[in-house]
Amino acid sequence: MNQDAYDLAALGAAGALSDDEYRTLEELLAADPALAAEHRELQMSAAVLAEASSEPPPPALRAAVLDAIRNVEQVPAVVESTPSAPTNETLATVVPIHRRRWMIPATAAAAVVMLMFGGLLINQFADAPSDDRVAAVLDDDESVTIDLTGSLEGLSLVHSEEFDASVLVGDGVTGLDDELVYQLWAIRDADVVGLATFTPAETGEVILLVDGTGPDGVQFAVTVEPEGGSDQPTTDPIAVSPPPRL
Amino acid sequence: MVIENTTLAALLGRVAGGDQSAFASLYDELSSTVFGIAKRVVRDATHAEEITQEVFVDLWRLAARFDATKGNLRSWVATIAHRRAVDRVRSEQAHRNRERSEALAMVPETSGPAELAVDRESRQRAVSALGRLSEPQREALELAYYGGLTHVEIADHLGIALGTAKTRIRDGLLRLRSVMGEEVSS
Repeated sequence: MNQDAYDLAALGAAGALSDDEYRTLEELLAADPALAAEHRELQMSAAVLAEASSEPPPPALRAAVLDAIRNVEQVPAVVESTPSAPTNETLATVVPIHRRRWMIPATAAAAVVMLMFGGLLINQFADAPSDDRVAAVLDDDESVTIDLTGSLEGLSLVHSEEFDASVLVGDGVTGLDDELVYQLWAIRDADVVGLATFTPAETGEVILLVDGTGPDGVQFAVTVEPEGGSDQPTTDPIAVSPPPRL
Repeated sequence: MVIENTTLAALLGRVAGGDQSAFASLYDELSSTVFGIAKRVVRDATHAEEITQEVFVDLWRLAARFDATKGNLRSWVATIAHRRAVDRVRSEQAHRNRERSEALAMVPETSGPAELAVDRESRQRAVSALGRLSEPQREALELAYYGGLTHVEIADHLGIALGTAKTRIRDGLLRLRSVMGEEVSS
C-alpha cells in the first residue's frame, strides 16, 4: 500500500486538493481499484459534512427543476460487452464469461429461486435438473458476468440470455453468525422483491440459480437478514449490482 | 434510514426509465442535502439554487449511468453537489481573491417551516457524528469541505506544518467513517 496515494485519496475526499493534485489522484484511482474503493468510502464519510448542512431549498425551485428536465434527453445506460476498461467509471463492469470459469462444487446442491413480478412466473426449464441449468448458464460462452459490489465481496451474477436465467456465484464470501442469513433482492421500479436467502458453504462458495431473469430492468441487492429471511430489507444493502439497463 | 438507500435506488431506477413523478419524489428526498451543502460552500442562495438545479438535471440526464454500487445515493449526490460548489468557488476565486474560510462563520439556517422531519433527523445525526471529532480534526475538515481550502492553504491558515494538516484531515475522515459504521451496526 502506497501511503502517499492513500493520503492523497483522503485529502481528495475532504476536498482539500488543488486542481493539479486532483488530476494526479484521478490517475492513481484509475490504476488502483483498491485505492478507488477507499477513496469512495471516504467520500461517503465526508458527505456527513454535507448532511450536517442540510437545508430546504426555496419551494419555487422545485417547479423550476421539474420544468427544466422536461426537455432534457436522458442518456441511455451503456453496458460494455468487451473486456476493455470502461471509459466512464460509472459504467457497469461486465466481462465475458470466458474470462472467468466457475467451478461448480460437486457436493453443492444449487438452490433455485423463481423471479416473479406482477404474477408472471417464468420457468421454461422446469423439467431440467437445477444443476444442469446452473451448468448451462455458466458454460454459455455468451454469458455475461456482473459483479455485485459493496462491503461484501466475492458475489457475481452470471446471466445467460440464451437460457434466460442467471446464477449468483460467490467465491470467498464471508460467513455469518448462526441466526443470520444473506438475502438476495430484486429491485424493479419501486418493487423490492425478496428472492431467496442463502449462506455460503464453508469454503465461501455460493451457487444460486435465479430463474427467468437477467440484468435487464432489474437491480440485485444483498442484505443481511434474520434467519428465515424478511419480507422487506431490514438492513442496508452490502452488495448491489449496477443500476438496471433500460 | 435503514432501507433508505434501497428506496432511493428503486426511485432512481424509475427515473432512469423516464418517470418524471419518480424524479419529483427523488427531488423531495434529496434537495435539502444538495441545496444545503451548495449554499454552505458558495455562501449565496442564488448560486446554491443554480447548483442544485444543475445537479438534479444531471441526475435526470444520467440516471441510467449512476452507479448505486458507489454507496449510499444520498451521500453520492451530496459529493457531486459539494464538488460542483467547490469548483464554482475556486473559479470565482481566480477573479476575486476572497477569504473562503469566512465560510466557516456562516452557520446554516435553523430549520425552516418547509423542512421535513426526515431531513432534520438526518442532519441531527450528521451534526452529532461531527461532534465526535477532536476539535483540531473538525476544524481542518470544515476548512477543507466548507471553505474549499486545499491542505496547503489550511496549513498556512492555521499556522501548522503541512504534515499536521494532512494528518488532521485524514484522521478526521477515518474517525467519521468509524463513527458512521458504529451507527449502522448498532
